[in-house]
Formats: sequence, structure tokens, C-alpha cells
Amino acid sequence: MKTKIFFAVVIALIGVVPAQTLAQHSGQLGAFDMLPQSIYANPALRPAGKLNVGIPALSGVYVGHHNNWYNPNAYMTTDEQGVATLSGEAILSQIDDFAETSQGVGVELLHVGFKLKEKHYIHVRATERAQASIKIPRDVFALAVYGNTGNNTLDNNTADFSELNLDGIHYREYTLGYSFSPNEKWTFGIAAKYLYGMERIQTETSNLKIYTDPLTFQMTSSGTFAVNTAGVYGAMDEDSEAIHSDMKTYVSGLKNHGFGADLGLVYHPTEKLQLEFSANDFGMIKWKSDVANYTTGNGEFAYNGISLTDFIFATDSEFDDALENELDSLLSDLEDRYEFEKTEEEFTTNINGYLRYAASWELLKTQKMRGKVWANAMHGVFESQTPFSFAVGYNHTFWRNIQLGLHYSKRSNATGSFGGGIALSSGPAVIYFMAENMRFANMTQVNVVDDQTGEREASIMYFSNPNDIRINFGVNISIFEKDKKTSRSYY
Amino acid sequence: MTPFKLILGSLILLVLSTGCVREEIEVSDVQFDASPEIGAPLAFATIQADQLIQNFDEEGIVHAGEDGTLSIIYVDTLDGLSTGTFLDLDDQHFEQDIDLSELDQASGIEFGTLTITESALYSFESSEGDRLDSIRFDSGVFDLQMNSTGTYPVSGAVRMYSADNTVAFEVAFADDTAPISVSSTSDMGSVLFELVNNDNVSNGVRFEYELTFTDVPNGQVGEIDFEISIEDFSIRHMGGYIAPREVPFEGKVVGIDMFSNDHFGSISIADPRLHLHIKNGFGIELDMQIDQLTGRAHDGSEFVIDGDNIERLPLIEGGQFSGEPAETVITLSNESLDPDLTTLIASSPKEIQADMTVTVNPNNEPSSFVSRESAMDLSFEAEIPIFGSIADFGMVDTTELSVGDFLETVDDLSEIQSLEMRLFVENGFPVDAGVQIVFLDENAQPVDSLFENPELVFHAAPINLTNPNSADYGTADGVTETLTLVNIDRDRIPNLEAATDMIIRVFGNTAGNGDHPIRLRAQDKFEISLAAKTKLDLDEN
Repeated sequence: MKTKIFFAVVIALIGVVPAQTLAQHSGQLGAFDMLPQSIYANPALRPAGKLNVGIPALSGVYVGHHNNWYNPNAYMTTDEQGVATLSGEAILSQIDDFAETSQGVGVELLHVGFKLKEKHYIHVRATERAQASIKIPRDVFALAVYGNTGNNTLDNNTADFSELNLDGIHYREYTLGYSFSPNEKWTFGIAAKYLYGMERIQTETSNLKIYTDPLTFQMTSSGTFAVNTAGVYGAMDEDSEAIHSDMKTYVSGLKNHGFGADLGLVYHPTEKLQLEFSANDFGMIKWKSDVANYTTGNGEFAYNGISLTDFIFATDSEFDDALENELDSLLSDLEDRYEFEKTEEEFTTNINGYLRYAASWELLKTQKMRGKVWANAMHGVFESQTPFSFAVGYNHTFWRNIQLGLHYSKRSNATGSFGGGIALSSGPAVIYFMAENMRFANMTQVNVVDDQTGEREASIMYFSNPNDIRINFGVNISIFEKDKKTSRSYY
Repeated sequence: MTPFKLILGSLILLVLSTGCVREEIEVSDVQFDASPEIGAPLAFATIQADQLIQNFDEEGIVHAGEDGTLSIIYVDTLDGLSTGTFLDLDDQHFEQDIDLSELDQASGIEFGTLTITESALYSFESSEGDRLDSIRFDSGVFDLQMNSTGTYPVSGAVRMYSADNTVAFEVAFADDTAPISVSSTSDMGSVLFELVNNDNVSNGVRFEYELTFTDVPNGQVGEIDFEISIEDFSIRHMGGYIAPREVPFEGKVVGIDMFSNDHFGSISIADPRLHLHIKNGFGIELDMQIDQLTGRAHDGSEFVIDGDNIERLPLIEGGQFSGEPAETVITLSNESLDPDLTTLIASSPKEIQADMTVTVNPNNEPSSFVSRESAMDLSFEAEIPIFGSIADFGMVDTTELSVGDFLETVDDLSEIQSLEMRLFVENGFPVDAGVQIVFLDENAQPVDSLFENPELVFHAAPINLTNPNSADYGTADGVTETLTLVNIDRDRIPNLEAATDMIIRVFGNTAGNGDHPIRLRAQDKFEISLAAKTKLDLDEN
């Protein structure tokens, strides 16, 4: 017993990746009822444990990385001399409407939950969440590969940068959750959240376009690009003080407050069938500390070349001076159009709310094992960045202390993949590990060598396929219901 | 082993085995397999006809009418007629002999002094038969020579009287030492004579000689000779009857610079005009007729129109008052001569010469006036409306060019696979125009050319041909778009680097290549846009 506990703690210390923050986005999370973190999928879900305590900062760690275009194996070929050729067209083939790179991290700082008189479940938790993403419109790459003339792939000769998006958020979430089962069929849940914002980068407006006339190559741009930031300006401006300079203020003294909630219900029309619906991560934060808003002017600008009309017949220095003045005027006009105007206005952003629909069917139930098939779908609403995803899978519970899951999931703008998870219960310790796919384990190392000496000058290691990598792990302490016959814990 | 341990061990093994680097790639160089084509506009300009006029018409020879139609007007101010050109009063000489020995009064000298007076009426001689009422000299020399064969001292004066018997001019003289001889000159500036005209004399002036002799011992009487000359004079004003006379007025030229350079092709101007702007400051009518009109081309060839085939020009009125010239404009059009002016202009004359004859007082007016300031000023003007046609026009010029020097200033050409220059023209001028440039090396051998074959870069705008009598006939009523591409592949650069000179050939014609006239207006315009497209060969070395 002690050995098991020891190993559980070691593993917990080695790595914990829970499906928190964006782990709600994990397709398989809600299927693992052994984990208190299943409540992230639907606040109405009941963890199996009657008392669940997460190891602080280790109970739920989530790491997500997504890159839908960087795949060197797909577009880089290397010859015998070590000369690597990047195929522009192959890069483009990896991109649909935009190239996206995103990184998400979540750490559950605190989690305590307990059942109360069978019908009630209460939990509190605190989670640190951070995510950053950048989207580069496909047309940016198309310009690099094909240019803006000739056989380009631009619709109507227009490079559309509307999908250009820079987004990042770091906040802390304090949650009080409650679920109630009035009968065996229904369970309702709610999780009320206080949100403490720390940094934010939000692309408010992005609709830049550049049209190139196929005959004259005259260019016309339109649109605006606007970004709101909080907690960033001070760190970048030499004359300002960063919010991070005073740790106490940074941790608890900022004025970026917000509220959110999760709502959910679970319905058992039959004993074997379970239907779930939840609305998660709906909330907003009002950003007030170290706010900076950057907006370009009206991006409507037509570049027809240098206008020589007024001085085409001038000669020598008169022409040179007039040309210089015209160039200065052009640059000045361009700066007026595209120069970022900075303001310091508070702004409000929504966190990435999404709806989740799920169903499961219990295929097998014996004393020693249970098995169920499940399926779910999620999608963002309103301004949410949450993409549509779905997953289908099978979970099997062995001997009441091992839960294994296999599933297939597909997210929009990502390739489908098979993943799985495992949760192990040993005494009160429950450790788990989940991965949406195995791509995290497959790495490619690119070594840059000197072509004369062959010496290695630099190395870069990266996922061989960085498409939709999500892993969750963690360790909890859970007290389960005892089996009345065996007096053993339910799990 | 418990299932728990088994699964835990498998998990650890799985993590350890899958956490390794699967693949290593060694890279020594990176190349980017892409050849984007980047196009961008370089420059543009909208050029209106009146803007061209302002910039190239330094001499102000292009004029726009109220309706915007344009004409080229060449003007030369010529040497006109001055008073001295046709009024020819010769130097005047008068002689008078007085013989004292024949005078009864001569004996009176013995009593002390004797004064005698003689008068004579002379005529200012006019070779043309003028009968003048008055002459005011502006300048002149009155030369008096008096010689006496006697020995008595003499003093006296010579006086000239106007018709009203007032003294107009007087010169005194004296000599008291034998031999008696007087020589003097006097200025006649501003002297006014009113002349006597009757049946017996024309342009008459009465002279009076007054001589006073003084007795001296052994004095002797003798003959006194007077020789008087009025010469080197200029007339400020004269009036009266100025007899008709013809004055040759030849070699009057107006230059037409547009034909000064070599060119080829035929030019037809629909309605050219020649204007003679005359300011007649004489108080007298003039009649000017063209004896011959000659167009002289750049190659020395001449096109001559005889005066017999040129209509008679109207009379030129004289000024009513001195200092107030009368202005007359005489216009020659196609109807005025045969062959007409269109035919003359079609010979591409770089100058037009008019040889004329001016008749003064053609109607034999009895009274008129001229003064020193009087003159007939003449401007000869050729008006060439830009209304006509040009067929197969061309000009050739050679200039130095060093492409190699220019290319040395470019940092790096290796990434440029090809370059395409693109000229887009929206032409509102009713003119086709093209260009070809041939690049020559130092041995004057062609190494490359701008186009494979000469190309039109401007296509004429559509023109209005509905009504030949309408003022809009031949004007542009739309625009024509032309896209010209010049491709410069990397392979052409070595040849261009060797170029040291270039021959530029510009050619063109009006819409229809001379089939019908076109009319250019000040508001006609064309828009040109220059863009470049380059195909890059990206290779990050």
C-alpha cells in the first residue's frame, strides 16, 4: 500500500497535466468519472469520490499546443549535401484559411469537492489559465509563394488579411460549484466564477485587405486593425512601470475583475443512457490595469505609384526636389493611415464560452468492470475562439481502480486523431494522464551544421506533427463510497 | 504482480519509449522553393493638352480658343518702314552772286558804311514731286561759304523766311581782312519752315542776304559769291502733298520651328492663316501687296506662290494724329491664294518669306503728314490650328546611354529572374504614337531593342466624325486603353550591359493615319501608368 502511494506521489511529481482551463475542451474529460476534474466538462457531472482534494498546483495541469501549418516533414526535403528545400506550395497545402499557432497552459491551484447528503455536490477550485494564439491568414503565405500578380491564388486579386489575429489571455479563476440531483434521472449544476485578469491581448478588429489591379498593379488597401492590451504596455515601454514589478499587486492587486459561470444538466432517460448538456466558460473580464489600445487609422489607401502629374516636365534639381516632396507626402499619408493610435480605454472581453453536448451508453457493467461508449461535441458561441470539435470513444473501468479510455477526436482546423487516457486509483490517490493524440511524443530535431566544417551550430526540437496536441495530467486525493458488500472503496 | 503495478510499469515504459526523438535532420543550407511574382505601380501622370502647352511652349506659341481648340502661332516682328525709307529729300545747295560793281549804291561806301540787301526764292527739291507745306528739321547742317573779290570788310547775315515772312533761320557773318572769305556751319535743329507753293515755285523758301561794307583806304568793290548747303539733315515733321511712290518691302520672314528638325511623314493642316499686323504711324495711307510668297523647307527646297495668285490686300489706313498709329490686320487664308496655305504648310516650311511692295499715298491724297517718329511696324504671324492630319510621321534621334553604369548601381540582381515593365495608357488624344529603341554597342552594332517590332504605345482616341461642318468634327470623344509590356529576362542583361548608345525612333499619326483631320483641344488628356512586375528567385543562402 505504501509502495503504491509512493509511486503515485512520484508520478504526480514527475508530471501532472490535468485537463483544466482549456481541458474542458478535451474530448474525453467528461468520460472519466473517477476524476473530480470531470466537472470541468459539465458542472452537473458527479465525480465518483465523495471527497476530492486536488494536490495544490499538481491536481490538474494542462498543456496544449496547436500548429496547423508547421510540418517540416511535409514541406522540407533534404539532399545528400544537407541542403534543405522548403516547398512554398507544400506549406500552403497545410493551411486552410489561416495558419494558426497557439499555446495554452492551465494549472489548477486548488480543488476541493465533496458530496452532501447524496443529492448535493459542492466544490471550490482556483485555476491559473493562460493561452496565446496567433493566426496568420493564408493569403500572407500565398503572397510569399506566388506574389500578388501572375498565377496567384488570391480571390479577386485581393489579399485578405481579415483572419489576422493576435490573442492572448492570462487570468485566474476562482470557482464555487454546486450540483443538485432532485431524483435519479436529473442532475443540475452551476459553477460561479470570479475572474482575475492579469494580461490580455485581444484583436478587436481585423479586416485589412489589399487589392492589386491585374492590369496596372495599382494597390488599394482597406480595413482597420485594432488591438486591445492589458498588462503589456508597461513591460514594453521604458518610461512605464510594468505590473510585474510589484509582485503583490500583480498577484492580487490588479483591477481587472470579471465574472463567469458554467451551467449544466445531466439526464438519465434510462439506466444505461446518459445525456449531457452544458454551457461552459461564459463570462467576461473588464480590463482596467495597464490598458493600451492600438488602432490603425482608416486603412483605405490607394497606391497608384508616384504621381508625377505636377512636375513631370520639371528638370534637374527641380524634379529631384519635387519627387522627394511627393515621396515624403506619400509616406506621410501612409503613416497617417496605418500608424497605430494609442489610447488608454478600459475594455471588456469575453472568455471563450462554449456549449457541450454529450451522451454515453453503458455497454457493460459487472462487479469488476464497466464499459461505456460515449460521444460529445463542443462549439464556441458569440465571440468565442473555441473551435468546433467532436469525439467518440470508449471507456472501460477495470477492477474499480483503473479507468482506461480510447477515443477519436476531430477539431476544426486540425486533423483527426486517436487518443486515450488513463486514471489510476490507489488508495485515496488518483493519478491520471490524458492525451488527445500521441503526437506529443513524436519529435523531430533539426540540426543546423556548418557546410564547411560539419560542426553543429544549432539545434531545434519540435513536434513532428504539432497539430492539436493536448495533454492533461494530475493527481488528486479522493475518498470514494465504500462497497457495502466488500467494504472496499468504490474505486 | 498486481494489475496496478503492471499497468503502471507499462505506462512508464510507454512514456520512456515515446518520449524520444524519433527523427534527426541535419541541414547545412536552406533554400526556399518559390518564385513569387511581385507587381507594383511605379508612377503615373495625367497630362492634359494645356499642361503640355504650358511646359513646352516656352515661347507661348500655342493658343487655346474659347472652345478649347488649339493653334500654334508663330510671330516674327519685322523691320517696317521708317520716314527716311521713302521720303528722299536730297541735300540742298543754293548759290547767289552779288556784284557790287554793278550796284549804284557802291559809291556810297566812301561815306563810311553801306548796307545792301538781296533776296532770292529757292525750292527744296523733291525727286518724287512732293509739294510740302512745312518742314521742321530735327537736325541739319547749314553750311555758308562767302567769298569776295573786293577788299572792303564785310559783315552781314543770311536769313531764311517762312511763307508768312517771319525769319525762320538766320546766320550772321563778318570778315574785315582781305581777302574777304567767310566759312561757317550752323545747326538747323528744330528749325521750322513753312514753304511757299504757287504756280511758279514748289517747296519755296525766301533767302535774304544782308551785306554791310565798311570803307577802308584803298578799298575796292568786287563780287561776292554765296554758296549755301543744307545737308545731313533729318526731318522731324513735314506736311503737305506727298506724292505717291512705291517702296520695295522684301525678305519679310516668319519662322515655323515645328518644321526645323528632320522628320518624315505628311502633315496636313486644315485651316492655316497668315496674319499681317500693321501699325501705321504715318499720317498717310499705304497700299501693301505681296509679290511672292515662298516656303522654305529644312532641306532647302522651296515652295513658291506668285503674287498674281494672291488676292489683293486692303489699304492700310494712316494715323489721324501724330503719335497715334492706325492698326490694321490683314489675314490670308486658304481662299486668299492658289495654291492654298494648306498646300504651302504641307511642304513643311521652316520659314515663310513674303516679298512685298508698299505704295505710299496710293490714292494721291493732297494733304498728309509724316514725322521722324512715324513708322509702319509689321508683325508677320503664321497661325497653324491643330486641326488637320498627320500620316506616317516619324523622328529619329540618337543619344548616349550606358546601361552597364546603371546596372552597377543595383545591389543584387541574382534574385531577379525576370522583370516586366508595364505601361498602361488611357489616351484621350486623337493620336497614335509609338516608339522603338535600338541599343548599340561601342561598335555601333545593335545588341538589343526595346520591342521585337516597333509598337504603338498610344492608340488614338475615338473621334467625332459625324458632321464635317461642326466645330466638334475631328475632336476626341472618348479614350482608348493600351497596355504595353516590355519583358526583360535575365538573359538579356549581358547584352544591355554592353550598350553605349541608343537610337530612339518616335513615330505616329493622327487617328485614321491621315484619312481625316483631327482637332486637338486644350482639355484633351491622357493618363499613363508605369508599373513593374518582377519574378523573384528566392534562395536564402
